[in-house]
Amino acid sequence: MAGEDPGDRAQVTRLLSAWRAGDEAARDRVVEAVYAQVRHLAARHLRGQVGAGAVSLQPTELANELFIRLLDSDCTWTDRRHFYNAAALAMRRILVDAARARSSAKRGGGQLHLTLSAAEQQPLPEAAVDQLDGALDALRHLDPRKADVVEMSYLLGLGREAIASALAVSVATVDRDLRFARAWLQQRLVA
Amino acid sequence: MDAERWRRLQDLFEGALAREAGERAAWLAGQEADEALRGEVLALLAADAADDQVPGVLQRAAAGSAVAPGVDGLVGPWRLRRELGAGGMGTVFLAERADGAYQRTVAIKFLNGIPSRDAGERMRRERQFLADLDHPGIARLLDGGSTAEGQPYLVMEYVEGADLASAGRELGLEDRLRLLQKVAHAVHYAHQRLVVHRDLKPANILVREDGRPVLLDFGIARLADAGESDSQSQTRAWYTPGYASPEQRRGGPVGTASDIYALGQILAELLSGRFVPPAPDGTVVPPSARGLDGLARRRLRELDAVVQHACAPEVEQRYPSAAALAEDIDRWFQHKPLRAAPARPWYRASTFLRRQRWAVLAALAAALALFAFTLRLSQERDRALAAEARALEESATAEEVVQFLVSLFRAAAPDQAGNRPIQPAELVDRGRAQVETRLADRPLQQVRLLMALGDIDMELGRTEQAIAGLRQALALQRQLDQRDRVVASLVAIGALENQAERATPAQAAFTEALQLLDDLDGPTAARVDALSGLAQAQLRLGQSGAARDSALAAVAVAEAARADREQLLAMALQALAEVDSRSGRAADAIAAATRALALLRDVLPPDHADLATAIGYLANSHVQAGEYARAERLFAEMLEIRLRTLDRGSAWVITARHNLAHAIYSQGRILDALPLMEENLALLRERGEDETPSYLVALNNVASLHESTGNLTESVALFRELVAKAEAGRAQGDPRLPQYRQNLGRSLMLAGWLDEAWPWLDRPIEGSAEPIATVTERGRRHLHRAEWLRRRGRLAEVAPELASAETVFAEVFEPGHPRLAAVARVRGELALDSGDPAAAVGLFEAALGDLEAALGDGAPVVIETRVQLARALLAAGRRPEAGRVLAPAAAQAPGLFVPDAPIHDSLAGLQAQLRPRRG
Repeated sequence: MAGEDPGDRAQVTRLLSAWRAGDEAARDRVVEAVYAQVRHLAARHLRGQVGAGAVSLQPTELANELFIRLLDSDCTWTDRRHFYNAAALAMRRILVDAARARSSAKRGGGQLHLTLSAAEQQPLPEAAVDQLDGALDALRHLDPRKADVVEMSYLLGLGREAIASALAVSVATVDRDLRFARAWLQQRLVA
Repeated sequence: MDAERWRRLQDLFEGALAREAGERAAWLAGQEADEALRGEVLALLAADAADDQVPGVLQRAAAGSAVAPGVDGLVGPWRLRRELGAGGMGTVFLAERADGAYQRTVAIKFLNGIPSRDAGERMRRERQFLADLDHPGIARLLDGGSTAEGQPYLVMEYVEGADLASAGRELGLEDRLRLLQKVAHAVHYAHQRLVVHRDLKPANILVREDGRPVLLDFGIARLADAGESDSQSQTRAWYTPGYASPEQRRGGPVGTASDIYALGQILAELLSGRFVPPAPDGTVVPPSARGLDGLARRRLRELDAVVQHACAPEVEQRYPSAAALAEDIDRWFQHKPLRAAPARPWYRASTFLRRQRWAVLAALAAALALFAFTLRLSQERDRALAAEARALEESATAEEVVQFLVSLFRAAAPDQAGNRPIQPAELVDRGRAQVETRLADRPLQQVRLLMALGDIDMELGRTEQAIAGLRQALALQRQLDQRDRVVASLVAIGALENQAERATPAQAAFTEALQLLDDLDGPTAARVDALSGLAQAQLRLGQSGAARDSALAAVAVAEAARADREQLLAMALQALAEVDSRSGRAADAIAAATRALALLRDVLPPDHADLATAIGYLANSHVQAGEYARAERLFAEMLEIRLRTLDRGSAWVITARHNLAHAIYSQGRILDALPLMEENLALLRERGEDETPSYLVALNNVASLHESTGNLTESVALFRELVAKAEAGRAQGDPRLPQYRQNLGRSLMLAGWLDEAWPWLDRPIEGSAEPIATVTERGRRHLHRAEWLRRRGRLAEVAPELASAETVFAEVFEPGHPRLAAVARVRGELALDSGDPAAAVGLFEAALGDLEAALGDGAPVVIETRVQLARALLAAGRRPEAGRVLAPAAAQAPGLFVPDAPIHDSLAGLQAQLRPRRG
């Protein structure tokens, strides 16, 4: 029952302080821990949903549950920010991995005979998620804070106040960054 | 991009956002010389105004991360062979039977995302709908379910063939038209079963080697929607923009007309070989404008008209059905005027001439050659024309009715955006509303439809609506002076009023019907119906002698019937059984009801509603005879039949469940009865019928059950509601009001509120109720007054009341009946109060024996009597016997009474006294 173990939280807290102390390898291990947690939660969600009457899997729901499980409520804001970064990265990896697994399973698949309704006109999710992943990398290269802001908003479902406090900027700045970055990403996605 | 340029981009973006949309370009031109940078800002502004795509991408990716089975995976009995395709809605695999039970190749479609339980349930219902589609032109849905992870899948017939667009390229124009006709017929078949495809397009239509088209994914788009949560499904729907109707693209309700729109667009593409998307308002480009030629201009224009008629932006302007579209193509082949073409006289005349040219020539030739016949021919033609005119007139009204029903179904059914299942009741309500408006000037059709809708309401157990509809029909029939119809309506109304426990209007309806039948020398069946119904109404009005005469008359008429003798006789016998049963002639009642049931079992199928009714009569007769176990078995069978064919909330089912619960209650199995009764109460409240007599009966029973479990707070509250509602509805003369008042008084008394109880208990029993109920209530009144006086300590007055109660009960109940045991119990308490424990022991022992015999040893009243007997034994100094009597009561009480029931105090007190004393 990895997901129920309070030891996870202690471990993540330890890793976060190591990261704060300058141990860059700790960051990768936080990402690993988060990744494992998300997989676990996702599988549990999928199994539990039929009975629990929940809606289909939402990234932000996962993230919220993740925070509750892995983040001490009184951790420092640096830790929090680090953790958010790691979580966003893990979420991205999971979504992209899932999409890639699907598209590789598809190669070598048969000739399309039976069509799927609406499939042709909809952008295929794997292509779109790859594009989004690339666009987020490009944005991080241009403007790391804006990348943080959109990832925290889209992938982790954090509110503007939470993002502002994690990044130590004003809420107005978060709003401006978000609007600009959203438009920029949007444009990259349709291009 | 350097940091400076990036910052500049953001500044310009924000600066432009601060301006009105129309002024932004000009403002930018004034701010920034670099044209490329201005272009970037404008692109960002456009992206800002567009819908945010990112959440959708993330959600689809997340949904796609559901653990979909891979190739060689097993799904139910199927082994996945290879992936056939994937897209936004899900992934399709080719699969084969894994267990080798038989050879079969299927397509399995996994739908993305995991539905909630409700959504899963909706999908299951929807799937059933689709599985019923059995047509060679529609790929069959064979099976469906969910994987262990909860991902839904559908197993479908695997179809090999080319898609419609490529198949069409190999065919000539006429064959292409015939191909589309076949497609339209398949679509029409599904529409008649209230299934809409919602995503028709050439890629979803495969043409087999033998040239037969097969439609894929019928209704699947809706099924995928059903899997979404309620909050999200409203606007989101799977469709293909190039073929979707304007209403579908708007997110409006999608019905059969949307499929007809898609058929039109497919036809245009099939004819011309070119796909051209429709204009934003839904207008399609006709085949001629897509380069179709090689036809006479007129013929081409007609095909354009067919496409435009199918694809009219307004739903009402389109073909009323897919079959009508196919028919119009037939007309085109036959050179007949098209439904689609504008109704210009010259157009009709010219097509008529073309179609008739051989006939016209032949007629001319005949006329020239055989002049002598000409006159006769023209006479025959006149006669033929007159007949044709009459036929046309009739078919015009018939057509109206059909159109009406079609519009009704199209508006209500198959496919509103809310994903609700179709409720027949709703359809009937809408129909009735439209009958009044749309057919206002056609009383004949109005009557026909009102009667039909009334029948449906009756079948659905919607008694009040059925009565209202039939009364409306009756008024019209009187105006039109259709006397035989008036009789039929009166009989139906009377039966429904009886069912609604309103005897006075029922009696009036049956009496009028019988008078008309005498005048008309009307049919036997109506006479039996009316006499039986009248007997029941008279019985409810307390006229038991007249009721028995009516029932016997009905039996006599039925015995002599030539047609349907069994059913008519059974009905008359049931009326007789009810009369006998309610006037205390239990054995006669059982005999009549048994004969009726035997007659019907011979002629009716086992699920027939009338059989359930007959079982109910027999069961009721057993109840009146006090044979509750027999009654319970019969009521259980009756409920089972009702539930097999009706909704759990229908009036029929509620009645059956009520009777079953009562039979169980009467055997003292209170815990089995209470849930059934409370279910009924809840259902009646849901139906908004919490002031009807049926609700009051149910309320009374639940309150009584609470009282018998010692939950007096609850029983007093419910009895108060009951009496208040029954008195408010007194105008209808509820014959049970005296009983309700006694019950309220009794519960108040048991709860210790003696002052408040007295006025209810003391109130004289009015004589208008049915005979046996009146007698019973008179006896109960004496009994309750006796108990009240005893509790007040007015012991001298108790014995005369008890004697009166006993006399009254003895009129209708055999010795040993629980009612008489109740008298003995009060008498025993009186003996205890008067210091005669030995007499009390004898009385309680007798009562206990009778009660155990009638109710078994698990009834609350039996436990209460044991406690009373134990107390008497203790008072008589017979401690060991008291202990033996008390032990089973103490063991059973916790399971039968609520924790704060008064009996627990009595038990505890007795047990304390029975404990060995020290010293």
